[in-house]
Amino acid sequence: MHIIVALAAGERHGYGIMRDIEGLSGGAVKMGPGTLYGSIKRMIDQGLLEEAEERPDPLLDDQRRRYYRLTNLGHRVGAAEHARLAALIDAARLRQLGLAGLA
Amino acid sequence: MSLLARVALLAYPRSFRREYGNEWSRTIVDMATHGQHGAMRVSGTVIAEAFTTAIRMRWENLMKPTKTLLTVVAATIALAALVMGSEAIAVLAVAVVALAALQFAGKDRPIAPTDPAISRRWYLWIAGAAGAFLIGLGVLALDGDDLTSAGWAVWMLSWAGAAVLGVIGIGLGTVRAVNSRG
Repeated sequence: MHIIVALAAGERHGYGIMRDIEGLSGGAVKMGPGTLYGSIKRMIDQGLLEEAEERPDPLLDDQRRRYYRLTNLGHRVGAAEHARLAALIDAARLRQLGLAGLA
Repeated sequence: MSLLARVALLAYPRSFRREYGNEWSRTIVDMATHGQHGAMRVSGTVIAEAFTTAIRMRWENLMKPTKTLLTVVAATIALAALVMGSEAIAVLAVAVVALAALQFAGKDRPIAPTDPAISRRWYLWIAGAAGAFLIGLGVLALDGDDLTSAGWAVWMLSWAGAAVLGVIGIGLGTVRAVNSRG
């Protein structure tokens, strides 16, 4: 889900995804390169991601970098997971989870 | 790329190295040069992943062919037991349960027709079926009309194996043909 959220903003290369995830989670989630590319490979196999054909600037960029983006399925899965987590958060808020124990 | 990273990359399966090795090494350079990660921390991450992520990937890569092989063997035994008759019903039941468990337990199905990497090589299954069929023919030719019990078992298992491999090959080939048409 972290990778899907990172790519929801647009195409990113591997290191860009890694930095985005670290930034979005406030440093709580740190993904190593092996874990990242293993996840990317799996998500491509599942049809959630695809490699972008165009590079932002081929002259300025390292040829070893590849850019990834969400497929339509990836967007739909992200939206469904977003809705599921939002409903869970609403339920937790409704029951004042975490606040009752503090009172 | 440092010697440490080169050695650590060897811990990953060859398919991963071929597909993502260059990017992986580029990312490590990025982490060391652009990130707030010090060289020691990057080295620590690389080493830790070589012992965790890389080993998990190798295990997953190993399990897929192993599960495929076990599935084919279980199906072959089940088919041979079915042909042999009632005394082999117990073997048949065990084989069928093992087969079902292998195919449907977990998310990674060993023989997944939708997996392009597997369905692309459908003809290898047909070749395997032809090979197993030829082994059966060879046993018949060598043992003559009066098959010994060992010869009979090999003949039965090889032809049952040929049937299983052939069915899988035809299935994968059909799925691939339908997908490529769509």
